[in-house]
Amino acid sequence: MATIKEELRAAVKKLFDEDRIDYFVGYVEDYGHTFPAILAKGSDLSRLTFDRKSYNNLADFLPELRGSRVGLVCKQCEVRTLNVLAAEGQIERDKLVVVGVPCPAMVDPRKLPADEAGLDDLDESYWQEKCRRCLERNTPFADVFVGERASTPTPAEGWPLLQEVEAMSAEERLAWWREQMSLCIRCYACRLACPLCYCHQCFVEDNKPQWLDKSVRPENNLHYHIIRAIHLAGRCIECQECSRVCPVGIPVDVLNNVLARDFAERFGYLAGETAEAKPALTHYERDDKEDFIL
Amino acid sequence: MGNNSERLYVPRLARVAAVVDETPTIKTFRLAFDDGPRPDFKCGQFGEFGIFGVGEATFCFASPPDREYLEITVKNVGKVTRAFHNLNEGDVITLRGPYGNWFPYDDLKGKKLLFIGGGIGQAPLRGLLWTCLENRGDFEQLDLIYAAREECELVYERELVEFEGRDDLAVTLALDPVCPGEPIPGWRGRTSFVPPILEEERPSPEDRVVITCGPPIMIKLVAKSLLEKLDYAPGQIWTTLEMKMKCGLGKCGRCNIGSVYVCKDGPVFNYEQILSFPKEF
Amino acid sequence: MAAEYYRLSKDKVAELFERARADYDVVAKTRDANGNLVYGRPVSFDDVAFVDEQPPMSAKAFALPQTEALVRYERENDKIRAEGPEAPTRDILIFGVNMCDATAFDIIDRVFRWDYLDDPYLGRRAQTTQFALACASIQQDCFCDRISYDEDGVDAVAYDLEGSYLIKVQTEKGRTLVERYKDLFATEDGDAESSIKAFKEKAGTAKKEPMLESAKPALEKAFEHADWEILASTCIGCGVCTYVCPTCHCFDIQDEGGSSRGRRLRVWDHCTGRTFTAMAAEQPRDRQYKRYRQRLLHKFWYYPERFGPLLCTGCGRCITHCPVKINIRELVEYFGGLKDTPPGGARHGK
Ligand SMILES: Cc1cc2nc3c(=O)[nH]c(=O)nc-3n(C[C@H](O)[C@H](O)[C@H](O)COP(=O)(O)OP(=O)(O)OC[C@H]3O[C@@H](n4cnc5c(N)ncnc54)[C@H](O)[C@@H]3O)c2cc1C
Ligand code: SF4
Ligand code: SF4
Ligand code: SF4
Ligand code: SF4
Ligand code: FES
Repeated sequence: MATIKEELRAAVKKLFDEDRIDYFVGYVEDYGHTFPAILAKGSDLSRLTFDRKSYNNLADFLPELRGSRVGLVCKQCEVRTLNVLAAEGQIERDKLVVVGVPCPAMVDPRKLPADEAGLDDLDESYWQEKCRRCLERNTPFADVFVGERASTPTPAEGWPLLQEVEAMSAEERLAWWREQMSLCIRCYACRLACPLCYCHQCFVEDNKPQWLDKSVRPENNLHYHIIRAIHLAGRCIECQECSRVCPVGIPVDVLNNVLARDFAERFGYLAGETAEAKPALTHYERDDKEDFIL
Repeated sequence: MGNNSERLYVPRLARVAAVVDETPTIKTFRLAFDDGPRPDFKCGQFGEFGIFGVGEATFCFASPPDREYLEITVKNVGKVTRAFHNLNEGDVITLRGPYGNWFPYDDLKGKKLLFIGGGIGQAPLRGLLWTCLENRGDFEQLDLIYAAREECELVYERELVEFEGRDDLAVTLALDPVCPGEPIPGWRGRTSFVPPILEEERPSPEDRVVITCGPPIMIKLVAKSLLEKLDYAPGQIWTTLEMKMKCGLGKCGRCNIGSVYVCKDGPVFNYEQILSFPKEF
Repeated sequence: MAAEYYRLSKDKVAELFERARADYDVVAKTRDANGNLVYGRPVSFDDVAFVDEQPPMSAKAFALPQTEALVRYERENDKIRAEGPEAPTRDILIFGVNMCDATAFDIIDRVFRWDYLDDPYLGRRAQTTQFALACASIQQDCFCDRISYDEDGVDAVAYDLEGSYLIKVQTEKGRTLVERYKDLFATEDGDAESSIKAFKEKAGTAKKEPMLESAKPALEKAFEHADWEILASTCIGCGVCTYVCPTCHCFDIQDEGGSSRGRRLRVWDHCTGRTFTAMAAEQPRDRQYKRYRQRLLHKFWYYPERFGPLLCTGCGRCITHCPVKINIRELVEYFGGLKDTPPGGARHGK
């Protein structure tokens, strides 16, 4: 039986051969890492892979390729992202060829064992948090599906770290945030790795007026994170890329999770859950709760 | 070695002595120094000028080095330049410099000089042009082509009128054609981009040096025209380059083109050097 | 000065650390609140992490802080007073710093000493002593074995030779360190350089051909290589690679405060960012791959052309922490003609 890698390579080769795509965005393996690559016709497809280190949210690369016909590996994170991007008018669905995969759950890079031989067998305690909460492991709207369909998972409830932070007293929580913010170097990897932070000019770059001072201090860093979290309210699809890419290990997504939870509780809304859902913040339903409006 | 003050980034303070509105977006500031003589500089050099609380920006010294005053000309394009445009007489600004290299005046002596300026690009040429005029005997011939997008974008208008009245400097003024071939009502100069003027007048490359500054696209097209249509050698063209700068000192890493630091090795370059740069722009 | 060699018995290290704290602000590898490795100020010797792994943030910030005041200004009765930065109060000892971080200081020095002396940086630098601990084993993304730059300029290096450390002292600052705690150090009688050589062979840090310096001639011809665009197009333009890099040193100058009181700051900046070279007239690096190309070529072509060594110590951080795992070593090898296959297999489709 062909492995998922072989099926994937064959499927991509076919897409190029049949001239259905200009670029393929997928994961490749080389020099001991699995990482995203944008491949054009004539590229070596033998490094294409889909494994438990296929972390990046590939929808992040779509703006760069706008106008081209693009094939894309879509695990559940990308599925939800595409739903949000489509609802926001950011992608041309007919120019995308979605390659569906069964997602085996990603292994938390901070828990990666030194010997990666047993990677496929690592249990939930090694997974990224989002994978424990995943509702569906198979790409629903795949144009091509590779690999064997995965069974439906039993999602875990809540975000453990958010619960931990919320259990703190107000002073403890403030101290915790101050500590986290003192680590931030404002490299903006969290923003740039986020497929929903697609603004061509982010408020952090504006200098007329300059909303945010460039000096790297906890107050300025927090200012940045709060504004970013608000810009992602009802949009963040919890792919956890912001936290994963943070070079200094700040769990950036805790802020986004607070807002995502509020949207779930108040509006029964999960960003990107379906292709049909309208963006929560720009859409009004008669029975929307209004009790928070003063 | 450079002129190393003990505190490299601590600026001198200067006072705005006069403001001239050149165009709706360009102003010239005359600066006075209360703490000693004004800095000495050579034609082509620049400084880092700033306003406390806003920041610093790079401007060339736009007045001739032998005058007792110092002037800069600033186009309002962004954060710092906008704050400059809000300055009044008496306001204090900061200054570091002079930095960078300068036009090789001694090597230019005895030649025919053709100045080609575009818009605010006239600023770095102004000091040199005045110096040449004041030492007119050093040069066989002086020509100036000065172009702008619109009439209201010509800087140093009062000086242009004076230049036009001189018989030791040939002046051609040009505005970008709005509709090709059609004259602009009331406009005394030509309606053309610079390359067609060059290709029509055909200033011979013999003994001539072209000194040009303007928008990057103009510099590129002027050089192309001179090199390809008029048989100039790259070595006969001098220009000053604009790259984003912060320190002006070869430290902040912002202004490089290949291994060249525009702030230290430039901003004045010979076109021969420019052709050897990686194709970065 | 000629190198000197000493021995430091392992049971003396704690004492050295404690006594040094009287004379220096001692910095060492330790763990932050999230349990991540950092160069910080351990509360006690037990908090010092003796591991080969590098903290994500290099040690450069001790000489070139991410944010520092270059000028402090204040208006007093209509007069503005402008002053330089405050000098650091204590000497810093970076205890157990990785070699790839220690060597980086000398590389940055060359820029900050070039013609104009950058007083805020050089002031701090003069007060910083590096006491490096050589790695016992090379890690996945590291490639210091492919870069000629060696112990050059490092004040003192410790090699863990089972049971005791062999200490190589190379500068006056290194000698001061040993002199101060003379009683803890024994003189080394054996053939120290042979021991060091054997140590490096075992650790995997001994130099291996082809060295990356040899890529430069081909890189000089590769500026317009057709594969830059596709190979660097996954770069998201964040500041990670440059901020974690021990040798990157670019900065912005920004004012904070009002017109009558405030500071003119130096803040790290990065060439991979979108606004780094944005000007009103044009943006010469208008695509992301051009910005990444600047980073690679600055390190392996432009800087060496002017200053000699590579602007890279091979620490591998920019690979480990890159969100998309762009691999500078692989790309240097590919564009520098040392390797035929592009990393990840992507080629331009034209
Ligand atoms: C050697 C040299 C000499 C010069 N001489 C002169 C001179 O004599 N007169 C003169 O007027 N100018 C001169 N310049 C140009 C001048 O330095 C710049 O126009 C000035 O620095 C702009 O500063 P600013 O803060 O006003 O603009 P900024 O706010 O930095 O903006 C300038 C432009 O850059 C882009 N930009 C900058 N930052 C951002 C951001 N965060 N996000 C998006 N876009 C951004 C925008 O397109 C904007 O239009 C010279 C430049 C050099 C290198
Ligand atoms: S990735 Fe981490 S360090 Fe970088 S800006 Fe985001 S939170 Fe700060
Ligand atoms: S190479 Fe990687 S770390 Fe560097 S800017 Fe690009 S994405 Fe960020
Ligand atoms: S370029 Fe990368 S490998 Fe080289 S010193 Fe910088 S971070 Fe380390
Ligand atoms: S690689 Fe980029 S950020 Fe690093 S020193 Fe060079 S120009 Fe600066
Ligand atoms: S302007 Fe800072 S290096 Fe040139």
